[in-house]
Amino acid sequence: MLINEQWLRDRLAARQGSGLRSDVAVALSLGLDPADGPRLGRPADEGTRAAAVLVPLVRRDAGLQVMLTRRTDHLHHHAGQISFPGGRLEDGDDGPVACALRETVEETGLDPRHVTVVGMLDDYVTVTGFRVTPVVAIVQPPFTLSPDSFEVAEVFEVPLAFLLDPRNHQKVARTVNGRPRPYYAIPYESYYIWGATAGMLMNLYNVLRD
Amino acid sequence: MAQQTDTGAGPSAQESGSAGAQRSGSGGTGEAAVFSRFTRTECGDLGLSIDRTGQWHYQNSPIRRIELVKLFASVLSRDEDGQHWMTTPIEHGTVRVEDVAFIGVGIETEGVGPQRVVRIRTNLDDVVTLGPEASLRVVEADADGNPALYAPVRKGLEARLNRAVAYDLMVLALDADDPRPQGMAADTIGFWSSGHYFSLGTAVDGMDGEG
Repeated sequence: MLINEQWLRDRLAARQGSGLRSDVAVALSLGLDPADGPRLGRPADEGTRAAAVLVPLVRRDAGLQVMLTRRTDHLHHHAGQISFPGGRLEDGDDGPVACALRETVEETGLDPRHVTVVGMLDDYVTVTGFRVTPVVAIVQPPFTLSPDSFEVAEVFEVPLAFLLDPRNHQKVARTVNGRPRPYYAIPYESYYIWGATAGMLMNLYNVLRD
Repeated sequence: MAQQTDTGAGPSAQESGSAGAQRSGSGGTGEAAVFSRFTRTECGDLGLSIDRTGQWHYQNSPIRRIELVKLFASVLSRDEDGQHWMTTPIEHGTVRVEDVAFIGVGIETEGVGPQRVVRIRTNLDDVVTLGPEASLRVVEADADGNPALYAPVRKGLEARLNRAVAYDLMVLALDADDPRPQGMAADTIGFWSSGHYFSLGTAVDGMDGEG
Protein backbone atom coordinates (compact mmCIF):
# COMPACT_ATOMS: atom_id res chain seq x y z
CA MET A 1 0.00 0.00 0.00
CA LEU A 2 1.40 3.34 -1.02
CA ILE A 3 0.40 5.98 1.48
CA ASN A 4 1.35 9.57 0.93
CA GLU A 5 0.33 12.54 2.98
CA GLN A 6 -2.31 13.89 0.60
CA TRP A 7 -3.90 10.48 0.09
CA LEU A 8 -4.07 10.08 3.86
CA ARG A 9 -5.69 13.49 4.29
CA ASP A 10 -8.28 12.75 1.61
CA ARG A 11 -9.08 9.31 2.95
CA LEU A 12 -9.45 10.46 6.56
CA ALA A 13 -11.84 13.18 5.40
CA ALA A 14 -13.79 10.90 3.08
CA ARG A 15 -14.29 8.12 5.62
CA GLN A 16 -15.11 10.39 8.54
CA GLY A 17 -18.11 9.05 10.41
CA SER A 18 -17.62 5.43 9.42
CA GLY A 19 -15.85 4.21 12.56
CA LEU A 20 -17.36 2.46 15.55
CA ARG A 21 -17.43 5.14 18.20
CA SER A 22 -17.22 3.38 21.54
CA ASP A 23 -16.09 0.28 23.38
CA VAL A 24 -19.78 -0.59 23.72
CA ALA A 25 -20.38 -0.31 19.97
CA VAL A 26 -17.36 -2.53 19.34
CA ALA A 27 -18.63 -5.06 21.89
CA LEU A 28 -22.06 -5.07 20.20
CA SER A 29 -20.44 -5.53 16.81
CA LEU A 30 -18.57 -8.51 18.24
CA GLY A 31 -21.77 -10.13 19.38
CA LEU A 32 -22.42 -8.74 22.85
CA ASP A 33 -26.02 -9.63 23.61
CA PRO A 34 -27.84 -6.49 24.77
CA ALA A 35 -29.65 -8.71 27.25
CA ASP A 36 -26.32 -9.29 29.02
CA GLY A 37 -26.49 -5.89 30.62
CA PRO A 38 -26.49 -2.65 28.76
CA ARG A 39 -23.58 -0.99 30.48
CA LEU A 40 -19.99 -2.12 30.53
CA GLY A 41 -19.02 -0.22 33.65
CA ARG A 42 -19.75 3.44 33.16
CA PRO A 43 -22.93 4.95 34.58
CA ALA A 44 -24.92 6.26 31.63
CA ASP A 45 -25.73 9.67 33.07
CA GLU A 46 -22.21 10.50 34.14
CA GLY A 47 -21.25 12.02 30.81
CA THR A 48 -17.87 11.80 29.15
CA ARG A 49 -14.55 13.55 29.70
CA ALA A 50 -12.78 14.94 26.65
CA ALA A 51 -9.40 13.48 25.77
CA ALA A 52 -7.15 13.24 22.74
CA VAL A 53 -4.43 10.90 21.53
CA LEU A 54 -1.86 11.14 18.77
CA VAL A 55 -1.80 8.35 16.19
CA PRO A 56 1.82 8.89 15.08
CA LEU A 57 2.73 7.31 11.74
CA VAL A 58 6.52 7.32 11.62
CA ARG A 59 8.04 7.47 8.15
CA ARG A 60 10.72 4.75 8.14
CA ASP A 61 12.59 3.18 5.22
CA ALA A 62 10.72 -0.07 5.87
CA GLY A 63 7.38 1.74 5.63
CA LEU A 64 5.14 3.59 8.06
CA GLN A 65 5.34 2.55 11.70
CA VAL A 66 2.81 3.33 14.42
CA MET A 67 4.33 4.74 17.58
CA LEU A 68 2.81 3.40 20.79
CA THR A 69 3.61 3.62 24.48
CA ARG A 70 3.56 1.06 27.24
CA ARG A 71 2.22 2.61 30.41
CA THR A 72 4.06 2.17 33.69
CA ASP A 73 2.55 -0.37 36.03
CA HIS A 74 1.76 2.02 38.85
CA LEU A 75 -0.58 4.27 36.87
CA HIS A 76 -4.11 4.23 38.19
CA HIS A 77 -5.68 4.25 34.73
CA HIS A 78 -4.33 1.87 32.08
CA ALA A 79 -1.50 0.38 34.18
CA GLY A 80 0.87 -1.61 31.97
CA GLN A 81 -1.33 -1.12 28.95
CA ILE A 82 -0.37 -0.27 25.41
CA SER A 83 -1.74 3.06 24.28
CA PHE A 84 -1.20 6.00 21.99
CA PRO A 85 0.46 9.05 23.51
CA GLY A 86 -2.32 11.30 24.80
CA GLY A 87 -4.51 12.26 27.69
CA ARG A 88 -7.25 14.42 29.04
CA LEU A 89 -8.05 17.85 27.58
CA GLU A 90 -6.85 20.58 29.90
CA ASP A 91 -8.18 24.10 30.22
CA GLY A 92 -5.22 25.59 28.39
CA ASP A 93 -5.60 23.24 25.39
CA ASP A 94 -6.88 24.81 22.20
CA GLY A 95 -8.76 21.72 21.03
CA PRO A 96 -7.85 18.06 20.57
CA VAL A 97 -4.86 18.64 18.26
CA ALA A 98 -3.17 20.89 20.80
CA CYS A 99 -3.97 18.41 23.55
CA ALA A 100 -2.59 15.42 21.63
CA LEU A 101 0.62 17.29 20.75
CA ARG A 102 1.11 18.54 24.30
CA GLU A 103 0.59 15.09 25.79
CA THR A 104 2.93 13.56 23.20
CA VAL A 105 5.68 16.02 24.10
CA GLU A 106 5.14 15.39 27.82
CA GLU A 107 5.06 11.60 27.55
CA THR A 108 7.61 10.84 24.82
CA GLY A 109 9.66 14.01 24.37
CA LEU A 110 8.93 14.02 20.62
CA ASP A 111 9.44 17.54 19.29
CA PRO A 112 6.28 18.77 17.47
CA ARG A 113 8.41 20.06 14.57
CA HIS A 114 8.67 16.45 13.39
CA VAL A 115 4.88 16.06 13.47
CA THR A 116 2.47 16.87 10.61
CA VAL A 117 -1.19 16.43 11.51
CA VAL A 118 -3.20 14.97 8.60
CA GLY A 119 -6.65 14.45 10.12
CA MET A 120 -8.72 12.72 12.75
CA LEU A 121 -10.33 9.36 13.30
CA ASP A 122 -13.86 9.33 14.69
CA ASP A 123 -14.15 10.12 18.39
CA TYR A 124 -14.10 7.00 20.53
CA VAL A 125 -15.83 6.68 23.90
CA THR A 126 -14.10 4.29 26.30
CA VAL A 127 -15.77 2.24 29.03
CA THR A 128 -13.88 4.41 31.48
CA GLY A 129 -15.87 7.39 30.25
CA PHE A 130 -13.35 9.26 28.10
CA ARG A 131 -14.36 10.69 24.73
CA VAL A 132 -11.09 10.35 22.84
CA THR A 133 -10.29 12.25 19.65
CA PRO A 134 -7.56 10.38 17.76
CA VAL A 135 -5.35 12.87 15.88
CA VAL A 136 -3.50 11.22 13.00
CA ALA A 137 -0.06 12.56 12.13
CA ILE A 138 2.97 11.79 10.02
CA VAL A 139 6.19 11.84 12.02
CA GLN A 140 9.42 12.56 10.16
CA PRO A 141 12.67 11.03 11.52
CA PRO A 142 15.33 11.53 12.64
CA PHE A 143 14.17 12.52 16.10
CA THR A 144 15.15 11.78 19.66
CA LEU A 145 12.81 10.79 22.44
CA SER A 146 12.97 11.29 26.18
CA PRO A 147 10.07 9.33 27.63
CA ASP A 148 8.56 10.49 30.89
CA SER A 149 9.58 7.64 33.18
CA PHE A 150 6.67 8.24 35.55
CA GLU A 151 3.95 7.64 32.97
CA VAL A 152 5.67 5.75 30.19
CA ALA A 153 7.66 2.56 30.59
CA GLU A 154 8.56 2.32 26.90
CA VAL A 155 7.97 3.92 23.51
CA PHE A 156 8.00 1.47 20.60
CA GLU A 157 6.93 1.16 16.98
CA VAL A 158 4.77 -1.41 15.20
CA PRO A 159 4.74 -1.69 11.39
CA LEU A 160 1.49 -0.18 10.09
CA ALA A 161 1.29 -3.10 7.65
CA PHE A 162 1.14 -5.51 10.61
CA LEU A 163 -1.66 -3.56 12.29
CA LEU A 164 -3.64 -3.37 9.03
CA ASP A 165 -3.39 -7.09 8.30
CA PRO A 166 -6.79 -8.65 9.15
CA ARG A 167 -5.01 -11.90 10.09
CA ASN A 168 -3.63 -10.05 13.12
CA HIS A 169 -7.03 -8.80 14.28
CA GLN A 170 -8.32 -11.04 17.05
CA LYS A 171 -11.84 -11.00 18.37
CA VAL A 172 -11.61 -11.83 22.05
CA ALA A 173 -14.58 -12.99 24.12
CA ARG A 174 -13.79 -12.30 27.75
CA THR A 175 -15.91 -12.10 30.84
CA VAL A 176 -15.44 -9.09 33.08
CA ASN A 177 -17.24 -8.98 36.43
CA GLY A 178 -19.37 -11.92 35.32
CA ARG A 179 -20.49 -10.20 32.15
CA PRO A 180 -19.38 -10.87 28.60
CA ARG A 181 -17.09 -8.18 27.29
CA PRO A 182 -15.93 -8.86 23.74
CA TYR A 183 -13.13 -6.68 22.34
CA TYR A 184 -10.45 -6.55 19.67
CA ALA A 185 -6.86 -7.50 20.36
CA ILE A 186 -3.81 -7.13 18.11
CA PRO A 187 -0.88 -8.88 19.81
CA TYR A 188 2.52 -7.85 18.47
CA GLU A 189 5.67 -9.51 19.73
CA SER A 190 5.56 -9.11 23.53
CA TYR A 191 2.97 -6.34 23.33
CA TYR A 192 -0.73 -6.99 23.84
CA ILE A 193 -2.70 -4.22 22.14
CA TRP A 194 -6.38 -4.45 23.05
CA GLY A 195 -9.52 -2.57 24.09
CA ALA A 196 -9.87 1.07 23.15
CA THR A 197 -6.44 1.29 21.47
CA ALA A 198 -7.26 -1.76 19.34
CA GLY A 199 -10.71 -0.30 18.65
CA MET A 200 -9.20 2.95 17.37
CA LEU A 201 -6.69 0.95 15.29
CA MET A 202 -9.63 -0.96 13.78
CA ASN A 203 -11.15 2.39 12.83
CA LEU A 204 -7.80 3.34 11.24
CA TYR A 205 -7.87 0.02 9.38
CA ASN A 206 -11.36 0.78 8.05
CA VAL A 207 -10.23 4.22 6.91
CA LEU A 208 -7.17 2.93 5.07
CA ARG A 209 -8.42 -0.30 3.55
CA ASP A 210 -9.89 -0.55 0.04
CA MET B 1 -81.30 51.52 -32.41
CA ALA B 2 -78.82 51.98 -29.82
CA GLN B 3 -80.75 49.57 -27.71
CA GLN B 4 -80.94 47.09 -30.58
CA THR B 5 -77.31 47.49 -31.26
CA ASP B 6 -76.68 47.03 -27.60
CA THR B 7 -78.88 43.97 -27.40
CA GLY B 8 -77.49 42.74 -30.65
CA ALA B 9 -73.95 43.27 -29.60
CA GLY B 10 -74.56 42.21 -26.06
CA PRO B 11 -75.03 38.47 -26.53
CA SER B 12 -72.44 38.38 -29.23
CA ALA B 13 -69.95 40.24 -27.06
CA GLN B 14 -70.86 38.01 -24.17
CA GLU B 15 -70.57 34.97 -26.31
CA SER B 16 -67.27 35.89 -27.74
CA GLY B 17 -66.16 37.02 -24.33
CA SER B 18 -67.07 33.74 -22.71
CA ALA B 19 -65.73 31.77 -25.62
CA GLY B 20 -62.60 33.82 -25.46
CA ALA B 21 -62.31 33.20 -21.78
CA GLN B 22 -62.80 29.49 -22.31
CA ARG B 23 -60.31 29.41 -25.09
CA SER B 24 -57.75 31.37 -23.22
CA GLY B 25 -58.42 29.20 -20.15
CA SER B 26 -57.99 25.86 -21.85
CA GLY B 27 -55.39 27.26 -24.19
CA GLY B 28 -53.46 28.58 -21.23
CA THR B 29 -53.37 25.20 -19.52
CA GLY B 30 -52.62 23.47 -22.76
CA GLU B 31 -49.90 25.89 -23.59
CA ALA B 32 -48.35 25.52 -20.14
CA ALA B 33 -48.33 21.73 -20.48
CA VAL B 34 -46.98 21.88 -24.02
CA PHE B 35 -44.46 24.49 -22.98
CA SER B 36 -43.11 22.42 -20.11
CA ARG B 37 -43.14 19.21 -22.11
CA PHE B 38 -41.18 20.72 -24.91
CA THR B 39 -38.75 22.77 -22.89
CA ARG B 40 -38.01 20.16 -20.21
CA THR B 41 -36.03 17.63 -22.17
CA GLU B 42 -36.72 13.99 -21.37
CA CYS B 43 -33.20 12.71 -21.09
CA GLY B 44 -33.67 9.08 -20.09
CA ASP B 45 -30.60 7.81 -18.27
CA LEU B 46 -28.55 10.86 -17.33
CA GLY B 47 -25.34 8.89 -16.93
CA LEU B 48 -25.40 9.64 -13.22
CA SER B 49 -25.22 6.96 -10.59
CA ILE B 50 -24.91 6.63 -6.82
CA ASP B 51 -23.06 3.60 -5.50
CA ARG B 52 -23.59 1.73 -2.24
CA THR B 53 -21.22 4.02 -0.37
CA GLY B 54 -23.23 7.10 -1.41
CA GLN B 55 -20.57 8.20 -3.89
CA TRP B 56 -21.95 9.91 -7.01
CA HIS B 57 -20.53 9.05 -10.42
CA TYR B 58 -20.91 10.58 -13.87
CA GLN B 59 -20.16 8.12 -16.69
CA ASN B 60 -18.52 5.90 -14.05
CA SER B 61 -16.12 8.62 -12.89
CA PRO B 62 -16.54 9.73 -9.28
CA ILE B 63 -17.77 13.29 -8.82
CA ARG B 64 -15.38 14.81 -6.31
CA ARG B 65 -16.98 18.22 -5.83
CA ILE B 66 -19.28 17.86 -2.86
CA GLU B 67 -21.08 21.15 -3.67
CA LEU B 68 -22.03 19.78 -7.08
CA VAL B 69 -23.27 16.53 -5.55
CA LYS B 70 -25.38 18.46 -3.04
CA LEU B 71 -26.86 20.49 -5.88
CA PHE B 72 -27.76 17.32 -7.81
CA ALA B 73 -29.23 15.73 -4.69
CA SER B 74 -31.44 18.78 -4.13
CA VAL B 75 -33.35 18.01 -7.36
CA LEU B 76 -33.45 14.24 -6.84
CA SER B 77 -36.59 12.28 -6.05
CA ARG B 78 -37.73 8.68 -6.00
CA ASP B 79 -41.08 7.48 -7.37
CA GLU B 80 -43.27 4.69 -6.03
CA ASP B 81 -41.59 2.15 -8.26
CA GLY B 82 -38.24 2.94 -6.67
CA GLN B 83 -36.92 4.78 -9.73
CA HIS B 84 -34.74 7.80 -8.98
CA TRP B 85 -35.32 10.96 -11.02
CA MET B 86 -33.47 14.20 -11.40
CA THR B 87 -35.82 17.04 -12.27
CA THR B 88 -34.69 20.53 -13.20
CA PRO B 89 -36.66 23.20 -15.08
CA ILE B 90 -35.07 22.01 -18.29
CA GLU B 91 -34.22 18.34 -17.79
CA HIS B 92 -35.90 15.22 -16.49
CA GLY B 93 -34.06 11.95 -16.39
CA THR B 94 -33.22 8.87 -14.40
CA VAL B 95 -30.33 8.31 -12.03
CA ARG B 96 -29.06 4.80 -11.33
CA VAL B 97 -28.93 4.14 -7.60
CA GLU B 98 -27.35 0.97 -6.33
CA ASP B 99 -29.09 1.03 -2.95
CA VAL B 100 -30.34 4.41 -1.72
CA ALA B 101 -29.38 8.02 -2.37
CA PHE B 102 -27.94 8.89 1.04
CA ILE B 103 -25.85 7.42 3.82
CA GLY B 104 -26.61 8.29 7.44
CA VAL B 105 -23.24 9.21 8.94
CA GLY B 106 -24.02 10.82 12.29
CA ILE B 107 -26.60 11.23 15.02
CA GLU B 108 -27.32 13.94 17.52
CA THR B 109 -29.76 13.77 20.38
CA GLU B 110 -31.54 16.31 22.52
CA GLY B 111 -33.54 15.69 25.69
CA VAL B 112 -34.19 12.40 27.46
CA GLY B 113 -36.79 9.62 27.57
CA PRO B 114 -40.05 10.21 25.68
CA GLN B 115 -39.05 13.88 25.23
CA ARG B 116 -35.90 12.98 23.33
CA VAL B 117 -35.36 14.07 19.74
CA VAL B 118 -32.91 12.10 17.60
CA ARG B 119 -31.57 13.61 14.40
CA ILE B 120 -29.65 11.76 11.74
CA ARG B 121 -27.17 13.57 9.53
CA THR B 122 -26.52 12.30 6.03
CA ASN B 123 -23.32 12.27 4.03
CA LEU B 124 -24.61 15.38 2.23
CA ASP B 125 -25.47 17.19 5.49
CA ASP B 126 -29.24 16.69 5.31
CA VAL B 127 -30.77 16.30 8.75
CA VAL B 128 -33.63 13.87 9.42
CA THR B 129 -35.56 14.12 12.67
CA LEU B 130 -36.82 10.68 13.67
CA GLY B 131 -40.47 10.62 14.70
CA PRO B 132 -43.94 9.35 13.78
CA GLU B 133 -43.57 10.75 10.26
CA ALA B 134 -40.02 9.54 9.85
CA SER B 135 -39.59 6.03 11.13
CA LEU B 136 -36.76 3.62 10.57
CA ARG B 137 -37.10 0.87 8.00
CA VAL B 138 -35.40 -2.32 9.13
CA VAL B 139 -34.07 -4.71 6.53
CA GLU B 140 -32.97 -8.10 7.83
CA ALA B 141 -30.66 -8.76 4.90
CA ASP B 142 -29.67 -6.24 2.25
CA ALA B 143 -28.04 -7.05 -1.10
CA ASP B 144 -24.88 -8.12 0.75
CA GLY B 145 -26.81 -10.20 3.26
CA ASN B 146 -26.23 -7.72 6.08
CA PRO B 147 -28.94 -6.17 8.23
CA ALA B 148 -29.56 -2.50 7.56
CA LEU B 149 -31.53 0.46 8.87
CA TYR B 150 -33.01 3.09 6.55
CA ALA B 151 -34.38 6.54 7.37
CA PRO B 152 -36.57 8.66 5.06
CA VAL B 153 -34.94 11.89 3.91
CA ARG B 154 -37.32 13.64 1.46
CA LYS B 155 -39.23 13.17 -1.78
CA GLY B 156 -39.21 9.40 -1.43
CA LEU B 157 -35.45 9.35 -0.88
CA GLU B 158 -33.88 7.29 1.87
CA ALA B 159 -30.62 7.14 3.78
CA ARG B 160 -29.01 3.86 4.80
CA LEU B 161 -27.48 4.29 8.23
CA ASN B 162 -23.84 3.31 8.12
CA ARG B 163 -22.67 0.62 10.51
CA ALA B 164 -21.31 3.18 12.96
CA VAL B 165 -24.62 5.07 13.18
CA ALA B 166 -26.59 1.85 13.54
CA TYR B 167 -24.44 0.96 16.54
CA ASP B 168 -24.67 4.52 17.86
CA LEU B 169 -28.45 4.04 17.99
CA MET B 170 -27.96 0.70 19.74
CA VAL B 171 -25.66 2.26 22.32
CA LEU B 172 -28.15 5.12 22.74
CA ALA B 173 -30.94 2.63 23.39
CA LEU B 174 -28.84 0.67 25.88
CA ASP B 175 -27.44 3.69 27.70
CA ALA B 176 -30.76 5.50 27.92
CA ASP B 177 -32.79 2.48 29.05
CA ASP B 178 -36.00 4.38 28.15
CA PRO B 179 -39.40 3.42 29.54
CA ARG B 180 -41.15 1.20 27.01
CA PRO B 181 -44.61 1.96 25.69
CA GLN B 182 -47.41 0.02 27.34
CA GLY B 183 -47.77 -3.50 26.09
CA MET B 184 -44.23 -3.76 24.79
CA ALA B 185 -42.04 -6.59 26.08
CA ALA B 186 -39.74 -5.57 28.92
CA ASP B 187 -36.65 -6.81 27.10
CA THR B 188 -37.30 -4.64 24.06
CA ILE B 189 -34.27 -2.56 23.13
CA GLY B 190 -35.31 0.82 21.81
CA PHE B 191 -35.48 4.56 22.28
CA TRP B 192 -37.87 7.50 21.97
CA SER B 193 -37.67 10.28 19.43
CA SER B 194 -40.28 12.99 18.86
CA GLY B 195 -42.87 11.06 20.88
CA HIS B 196 -42.41 7.86 18.86
CA TYR B 197 -40.81 4.69 20.25
CA PHE B 198 -38.27 3.00 17.99
CA SER B 199 -37.67 -0.68 18.68
CA LEU B 200 -34.31 -2.03 17.56
CA GLY B 201 -34.85 -5.58 18.74
CA THR B 202 -34.90 -7.28 15.36
CA ALA B 203 -32.22 -5.06 13.87
CA VAL B 204 -29.83 -5.94 16.65
CA ASP B 205 -30.46 -9.67 16.52
CA GLY B 206 -29.27 -9.57 12.94
CA MET B 207 -26.25 -7.47 13.72
CA ASP B 208 -24.75 -9.95 16.13
CA GLY B 209 -21.40 -11.27 15.16
CA GLU B 210 -20.81 -8.93 12.27
CA GLY B 211 -17.10 -8.20 12.20
